[in-house]
Amino acid sequence: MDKKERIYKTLSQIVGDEKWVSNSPVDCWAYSYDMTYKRPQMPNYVVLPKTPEEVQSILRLANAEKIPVVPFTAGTNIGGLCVPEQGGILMDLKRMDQILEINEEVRFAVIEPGVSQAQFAQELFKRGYRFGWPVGPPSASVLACAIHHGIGGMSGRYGLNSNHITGMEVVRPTGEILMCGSPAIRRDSWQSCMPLPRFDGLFTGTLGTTGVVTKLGLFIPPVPDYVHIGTFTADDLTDMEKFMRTFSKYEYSDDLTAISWWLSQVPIPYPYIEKPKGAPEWSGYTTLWAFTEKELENKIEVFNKVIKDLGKQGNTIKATDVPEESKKGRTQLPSQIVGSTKNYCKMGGGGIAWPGTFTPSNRWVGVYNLWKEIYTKKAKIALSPSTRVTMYRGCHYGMLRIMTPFPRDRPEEEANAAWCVREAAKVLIDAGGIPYKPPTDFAREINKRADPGWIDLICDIKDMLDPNGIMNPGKWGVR
Amino acid sequence: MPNNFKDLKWYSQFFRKCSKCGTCKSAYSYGPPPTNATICPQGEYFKLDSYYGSRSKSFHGHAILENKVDLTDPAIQEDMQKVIFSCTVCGGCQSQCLLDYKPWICDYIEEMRHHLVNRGIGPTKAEKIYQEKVIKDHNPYGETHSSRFNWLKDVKDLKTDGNMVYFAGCTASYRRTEIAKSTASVLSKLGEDWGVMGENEYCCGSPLLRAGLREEPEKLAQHNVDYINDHGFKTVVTACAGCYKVLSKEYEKWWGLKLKAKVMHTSEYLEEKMKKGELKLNNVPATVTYHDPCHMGRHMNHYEVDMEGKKQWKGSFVQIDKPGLYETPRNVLKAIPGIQFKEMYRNRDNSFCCGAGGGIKSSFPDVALETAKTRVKEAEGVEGVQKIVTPCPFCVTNLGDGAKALGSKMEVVDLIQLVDQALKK
Ligand SMILES: Cc1cc2nc3c(=O)[nH]c(=O)nc-3n(C[C@H](O)[C@H](O)[C@H](O)COP(=O)(O)OP(=O)(O)OC[C@H]3O[C@@H](n4cnc5c(N)ncnc54)[C@H](O)[C@@H]3O)c2cc1C
Ligand code: SF4
Ligand code: SF4
Repeated sequence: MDKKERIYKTLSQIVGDEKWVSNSPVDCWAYSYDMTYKRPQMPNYVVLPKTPEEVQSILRLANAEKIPVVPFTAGTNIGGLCVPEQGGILMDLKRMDQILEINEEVRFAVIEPGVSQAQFAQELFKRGYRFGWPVGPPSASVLACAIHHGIGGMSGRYGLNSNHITGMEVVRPTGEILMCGSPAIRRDSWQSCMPLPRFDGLFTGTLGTTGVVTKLGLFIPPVPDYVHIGTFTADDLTDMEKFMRTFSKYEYSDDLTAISWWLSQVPIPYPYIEKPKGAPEWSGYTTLWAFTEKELENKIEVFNKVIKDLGKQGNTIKATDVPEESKKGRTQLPSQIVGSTKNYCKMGGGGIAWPGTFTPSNRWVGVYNLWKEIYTKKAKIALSPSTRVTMYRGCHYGMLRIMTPFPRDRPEEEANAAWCVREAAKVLIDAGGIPYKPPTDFAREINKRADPGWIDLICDIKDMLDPNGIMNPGKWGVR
Repeated sequence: MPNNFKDLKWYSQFFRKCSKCGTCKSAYSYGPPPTNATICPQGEYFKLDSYYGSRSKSFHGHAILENKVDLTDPAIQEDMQKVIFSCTVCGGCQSQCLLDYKPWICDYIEEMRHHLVNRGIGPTKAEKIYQEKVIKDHNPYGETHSSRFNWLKDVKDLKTDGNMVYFAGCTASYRRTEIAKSTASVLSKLGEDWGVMGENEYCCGSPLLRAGLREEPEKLAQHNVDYINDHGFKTVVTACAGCYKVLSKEYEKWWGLKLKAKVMHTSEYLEEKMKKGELKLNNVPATVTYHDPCHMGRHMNHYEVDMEGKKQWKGSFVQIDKPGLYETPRNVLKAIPGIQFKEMYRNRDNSFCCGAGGGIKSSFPDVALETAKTRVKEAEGVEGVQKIVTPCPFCVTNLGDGAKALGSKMEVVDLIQLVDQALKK
């Protein structure tokens, strides 16, 4: 039996049925690219395990055969992160799709990797709980989002989705299984990763390069009874950022986001068009949730006061009145509409990429101006600077990202978009921002600028956990 | 005859716009409350992303057109045939997609089949067998053409002329004759001046079209259209969702063949009667749910597309400007006194296919049966429901098979049978 056949047979034995394994190029092709401009690269096998034990056996096999393994849940990461750089086994985790527990007394849920945003939303809502829903596709994995520092509608109040992690079960690249956080001490206790050493960090933000997370505990906050969506505009990002910084000090917003004029168009204009004269360049919204009417009133009062006070100082920030329908979209997440990429790439034609970053808010303006220069002046085909900023909990920092649609069927235009995105990432990293879920080209740029000690540590950890370098090789650009 | 079919390259302008977002893999709506359900029978059965939703089909389109896989290799041919021909072409994925690819999804899947058939990579063995039967005997069941109207032996005062012609279709004629008889009974009870085509009714062509054939169904279409037009019928009614789609939409869409008669599904005909106050129905005590046949529901959605870019941009999907037949059959069902109607979780655009369509019942019977079982279980989960009502003989057959395989007490009946039961003599 040749190697290919042997691996196929062993994988079939591990998952109990040939139905859950394929080495057919027809199946593998459907895992070879995503919505970004990343060139297609096929895995050699696709396997769909159902249990952590099956994951363990697959990883042991991969080590024995020295073939790469790429964890995959829905492949919507906007970074080519599930495109196998070196072929190998694509481990599709969608059959591990159980919500194992929703503990209302302690307020946590335990989920498997294949649980989708839509599935989780449905179950949590029934019980009056919520999660930091991203504006990503409803079919995407909650777990993959959380372990990769995903951002959602509660990042102003509770921080990144990775802050919600209370524990995890992980299969190490060499096949050993372990628990992190409180369940490491007692299996049914999923309240917090602390006060233990944060070993969950070894498997968080690592793009599937350090192991396969097979269970995840998440804190689930309740859905408050009252909500107000405050909307506002400013003539420029300087004024908008000043407002966001000032208002975020109160920690009243679950979500505090602003978008440039081009992103507020649905869909994003492709290619670039001029903003009409007089239209404010930035518009924004904040979701103010409250448990009592009084609490809500207070939040609204402060929101209005901050706008008024800044206005007196000459800031162009203004409260606006937008139709209820468009306000709804701010809380109705996960959303089929935004998740379907309708807003983002409908006009562009199928392709979407962006440098999504965590950047200190006092650098937003500088970076945005450089991005505008790249997108509207330097690019061969001018593109819309469709930019979003969101303030997170904690320091005055947050998301700064420029959504870049492109047509999939016109290689020159695709290359133009790819050039813009890469250039945008470079100026951003130079300014101190850091791209999240970085595709390989961003990772290279990050590593070029990174502290050598940090690079050494990441290499040492990778060598320790994954001596044969089988886990999603090539991502993070270090090994 | 010239036709309006487009080739795969033409469709590539739309499937290339698929962003690979995966929204077509399940049916989700924010609500509130948020609802989430499976939508793709093929994906649910095979689980690999190469089978899930219209997303997978756009991957395969690239693979085929750009030679990303070696389609001269027999093993790859087999795999490609499996991924393309095991889809029920139910359009569940189409209902979820919001990009410009949306309006074209089902037509495109069938064109992929056609493309493969032209290269000898299809049809499936099972399809080949039934296709030969359709060509020879004008039905896919291997029955003789002359026995097509055996069910009519019991029907009194039968005519082959009149204002209205009842197009029975193959499934009702050969396999679900109780549905054909109920239809005849309802038309007679309502005093309609109706007739049948008798020996002149040929298969509508749906089983061939769904499998990617082009010339053979055209012959059937031409025959049926000529006969109906030549005989001066004013209305064609059919109780079959598949025939309804083909007669009312596809003869003209693909071959420009215009029926002079108005095509109506029996549920439309009954709703019209109801509106005129001409439908007097007796009590039929039962708690029922309704299953939307794909061919009557979402396949009949009409999509506004801006081909010239006058409103939006070239080739953009604007909106669904006319929905399929969702409310009409429900209105008829709800009008029957004694009927307690309860909706299944997945309904209308988000309905879960019965599993029989797209040639699956013969080519991939396991997929068809599992899908039917899933749907029957869903109905079982609705409190008190005793019957699944659906206006399509093919759905009745497959859901019935599903109920049987489950050992379920759930009854599956055609809407027209319930109406027949309820109609005063
Ligand atoms: C239009 C659009 C908008 C988006 N908006 C947001 C947003 O607002 N916020 C946000 O956070 N994200 C956003 N995303 C990104 C993405 O949808 C989410 O992060 C999503 O949850 C990722 O899930 P996935 O199943 O697609 O992951 P995949 O793409 O399948 O995987 C992502 C990474 O996780 C690894 N991985 C997957 N499963 C495991 C596992 N069990 N163990 C270890 N590694 C694993 C993979 O190897 C890969 O590196 C958006 C995406 C789109 C298309
Ligand atoms: S078919 Fe539509 S919904 Fe499905 S992945 Fe493509 S764009 Fe998204
Ligand atoms: S048509 Fe139906 S079976 Fe086929 S891919 Fe779409 S949802 Fe799945």
